[in-house]
Amino acid sequence: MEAGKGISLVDIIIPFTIVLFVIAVGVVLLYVNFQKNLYRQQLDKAALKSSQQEDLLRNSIQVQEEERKRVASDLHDELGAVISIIRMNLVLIQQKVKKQEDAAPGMESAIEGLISLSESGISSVRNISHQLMPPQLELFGLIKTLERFAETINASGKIDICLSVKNELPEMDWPVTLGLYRISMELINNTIKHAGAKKITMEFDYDNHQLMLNFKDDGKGLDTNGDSTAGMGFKNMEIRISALKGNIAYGNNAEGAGFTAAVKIPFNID
Amino acid sequence: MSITKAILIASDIPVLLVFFFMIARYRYLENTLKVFWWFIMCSAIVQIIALVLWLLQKNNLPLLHFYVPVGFALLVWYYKMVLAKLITKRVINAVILLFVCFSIVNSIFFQGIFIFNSNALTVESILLIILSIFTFIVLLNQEMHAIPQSVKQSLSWINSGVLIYYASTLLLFYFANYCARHYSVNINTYDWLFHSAASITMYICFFVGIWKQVKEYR
Repeated sequence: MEAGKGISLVDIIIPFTIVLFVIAVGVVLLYVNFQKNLYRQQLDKAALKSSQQEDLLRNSIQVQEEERKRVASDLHDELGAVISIIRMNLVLIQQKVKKQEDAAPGMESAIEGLISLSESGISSVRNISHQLMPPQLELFGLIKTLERFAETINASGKIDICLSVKNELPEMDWPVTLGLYRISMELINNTIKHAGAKKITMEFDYDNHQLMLNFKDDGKGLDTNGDSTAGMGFKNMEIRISALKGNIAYGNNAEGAGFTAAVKIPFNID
Repeated sequence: MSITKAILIASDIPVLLVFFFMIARYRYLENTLKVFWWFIMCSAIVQIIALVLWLLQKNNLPLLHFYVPVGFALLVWYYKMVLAKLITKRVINAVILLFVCFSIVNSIFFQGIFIFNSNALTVESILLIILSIFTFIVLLNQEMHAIPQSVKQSLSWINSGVLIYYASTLLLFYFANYCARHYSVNINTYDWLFHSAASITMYICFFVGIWKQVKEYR
C-alpha cells in the first residue's frame, strides 16, 4: 500500500538520504584537500626555515671572514709597520751607541736584545695575519696556496703532505675558494695535532658539477670506542660545508689505520 | 535469483574481504587496528548469520539488537585508543555504557527483538557522526602530535567510511519502521539497496585504510 497522496515520505527520505551521502562524501573530500594543503604549507614552511638558516649561516661566515680580513690587514699594515719603525729606530740607536765611547756598559747588548724582540714581533704579526687571511689565496688561488703551505710543512720533515689535482679546478668564487681553503686547513691541522700521522694525501677533483676533496692520512684514525663527538674545529668545518650546500663523509680507512674524508661541494661553471 | 537479491547478498562481501584480509595480515596490524579487528570480526560474524537466516527466510532482527550495542562499543573503543591523549576516557566509557543501557532498554521496552531497532540505530548514527567530525578536526590540527603518523592514515580512511555510512543511513534508520509499515516491499528494497551502497563504501574505505597501514608496516 502506498501512503498518502502527492509527495510521500519516501519521496523525501530517498533524496534526503542521497543529499546526506553527498554531504558526507563532500566532507571527506574537503578534509583530504585541506590535509594536502596543510601538508604542502608545512613543507613550504620547513623549506623556508631551512633556507633562512642557510642564509644566516652564510652571512655569519661571510661576516667572520670579512672581520678576519680586516684584522689581518690592520695587524700587517698598522701593528707590523709600528714594530718595523721601532726596529729601525733601535738600529739607528745601536749605530749611535757603537760610535759613542762613553756609552753605558751593557747598553749595546740591551739594544741588540730589543732589536731581536722587535724582529720576532714583526715575524709573529706577519704569521698571524697570514694565518687569518693568506694573501697568496687571493693572488694565486687555492691550489698554489696549499702547495706553498705543504712545502713549508714538508720542509719541517715531520709530516709529508702530498697534494694532487685530478681534473683541473674551474675558476671559483671567493667564498668557495676560501671555504675550501679553510676546510683543507682544518683537516690538515686536525691530522697534525691529533693523528700522529706521517703522511697526508689530498686530492682535488672537479667532475659532474661538483668540487671534490679526498683527504687521507696514515695516523691513528678516529677513536671509535671513546668519545666520538666532533671538536669545535670539525663542527666549524661542517658548518662551512653546509653553508656551501655541500656534504662530507668521513671515517677511518677501510684498509687499516688512518682517517679519511670526502668533501663534495656543488659548483656550476657559469 | 533477482538482481536486487544478488546485490543485497553481494553487499556482504566487502566486510568479509576486510575480515579475511585482517586475519591474513594480523601480525602487521598496528595495535589500534588490532582493536578495530574485533569490530570487523563482530560485523562479519553477524552479517554471515544474518545472511543465512535471511536466505532461510527467518527473522534475523534479533541479531541487530545484539550487534548495535556491541558494534558501537567496539568501534568507540577503537576511537578511544587512537584519540587516547585527546579525549577524556571517562566520557567515552560513559557514552558506551549509556548507549548500551539505552539499547537494552529500547530492545526490552520499546522495540522488541523482532522489530527493527531504529531508535538505537539513529542514536548510534548521531553519536558516531559527532565522533567522526571531531576526529576530522583533530586530524586537521597540524599542531597536534598526539596521534602517531602511522595511525593517522588508516584513521583518516576508517573515519571517512564511518562518516559516509552513518550520515547516509541516518534517515533510513529513523524512518525504517514507518516505511516497512506504510510502503510496499519494493520501495523498502530500494531503501535497503541504498543502505547496501553506503555499507559497501564504508567497508571499501576500511579496506583501503588497513591496506595502507599494512603496506607501510611491512
